[in-house]
Amino acid sequence: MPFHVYGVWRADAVLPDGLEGLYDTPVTTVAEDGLAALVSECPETPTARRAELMAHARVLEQVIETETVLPMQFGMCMPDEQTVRHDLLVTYRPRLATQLSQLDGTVQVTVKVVYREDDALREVLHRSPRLVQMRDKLASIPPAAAHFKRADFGQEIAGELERMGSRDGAEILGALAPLALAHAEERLLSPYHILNTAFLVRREERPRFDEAVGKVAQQWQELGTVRYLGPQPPYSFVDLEAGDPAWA
Amino acid sequence: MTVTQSPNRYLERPAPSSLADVVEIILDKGLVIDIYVRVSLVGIELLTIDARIVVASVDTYLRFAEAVNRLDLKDDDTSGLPELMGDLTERGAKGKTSGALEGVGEKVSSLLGGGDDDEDDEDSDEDEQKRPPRKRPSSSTRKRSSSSSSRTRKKAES
Amino acid sequence: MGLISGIFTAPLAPIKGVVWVAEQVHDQAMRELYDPESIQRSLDQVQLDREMGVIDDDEADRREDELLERLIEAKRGGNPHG
Repeated sequence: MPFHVYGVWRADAVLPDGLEGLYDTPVTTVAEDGLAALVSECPETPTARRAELMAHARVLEQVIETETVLPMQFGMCMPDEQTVRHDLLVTYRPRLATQLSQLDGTVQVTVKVVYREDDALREVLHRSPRLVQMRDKLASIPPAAAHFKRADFGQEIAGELERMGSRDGAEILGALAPLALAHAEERLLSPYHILNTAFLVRREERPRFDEAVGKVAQQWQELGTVRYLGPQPPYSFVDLEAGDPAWA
Repeated sequence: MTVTQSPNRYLERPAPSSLADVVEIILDKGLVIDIYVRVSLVGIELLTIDARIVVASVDTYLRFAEAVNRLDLKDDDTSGLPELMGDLTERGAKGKTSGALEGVGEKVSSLLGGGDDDEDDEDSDEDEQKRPPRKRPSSSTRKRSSSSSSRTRKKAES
Repeated sequence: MGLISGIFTAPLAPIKGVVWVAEQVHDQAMRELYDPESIQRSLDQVQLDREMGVIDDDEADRREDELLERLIEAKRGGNPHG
């Protein structure tokens, strides 16, 4: 029977009662030498629909409330219990054990800050009289003739927006990073995305971090929206590749 | 728990993580052993692609200009994107090849690899170098001492 | 596509703003549709529209399902349109 794998934790960690995972099957553990994988049964051809994705995230978010767990990427489907033991827990034991130890007592939270388009563009114009002039000049040219100039103007706007976003993003990061153990900057999806960063925070320091994020949200409310996710397992702070697996 | 801030408020009460939030993380991050990643497609009909709508997405700089124009809500005449697309379809139908969209021209120039204009469109994946380094995870800011700068790279990295 | 196939492709010298090559633009547009970042942006937008009440839950679900399908396809190395 294939197993969907959610994550790895210490074998002595406590599984919440009645935890259900993908395909409405119960989450169980497969233990080996002090480590355990959280798994549930899955079909031979596992699917990646909304239900499966949300279940994977939900199980991990429930577990991280009380226990340290190293999350698997979605889609890990191992053919049987033996494979889970050998190819995951035994093979990668040193790396897994090290990370569990390092990440003990921490959680991940993610902060995303996105400008609202109109507000950001107004601010860009507000900060740059030169661009206001360009726009006014453009307005006086008939649209058909203005094509070249419009793209130039658009490019200038884009540049200013980029600079502004970069500065604001750095400022926000500067306010939050000192309150975390580590952070990992993730991809920014558009010129209006100015921060998308995962933070590793000690559990006991969460309230302080939450408060700081609240302040950021308030300070930037004129220009954008703050999205604050967590607590999450440390998705952005785990990996299997650093260091050799046990059998290498 | 997801908390989203809305205008004039501090953080709201927690809300569940959205599909978008979940997708962004769990398909890209976390531990992975490539050979055991298995996802099957479910037979949802993919939408038929309407090229007119899709083509409109390629001209970035023009969009900025249009967006700024729209800020002035008083003058509501303007050549927003729909009008641009109208031009496009009209010219297309008549088989004309001149006077095409500005942004499209730039885009195409860069695709052809020639021309005076080497400005690459921001949206293009190939042009990642043009975007500031902050777009990429910056290894220098990761303070986990034992980690190398790389995460487990997925085959999906494209 | 009816629109594109009706246009003669007559590439001129690539001077800024004056070139129209239907095939390249079409292919690029296709690539963008299967670009994971672009799909993620769309997913984010659907969520925003849902939260702001611009679309109802059913419509949001429908759009998300389609985007998710496209994303999985993209991650499997597909752009079914080449």
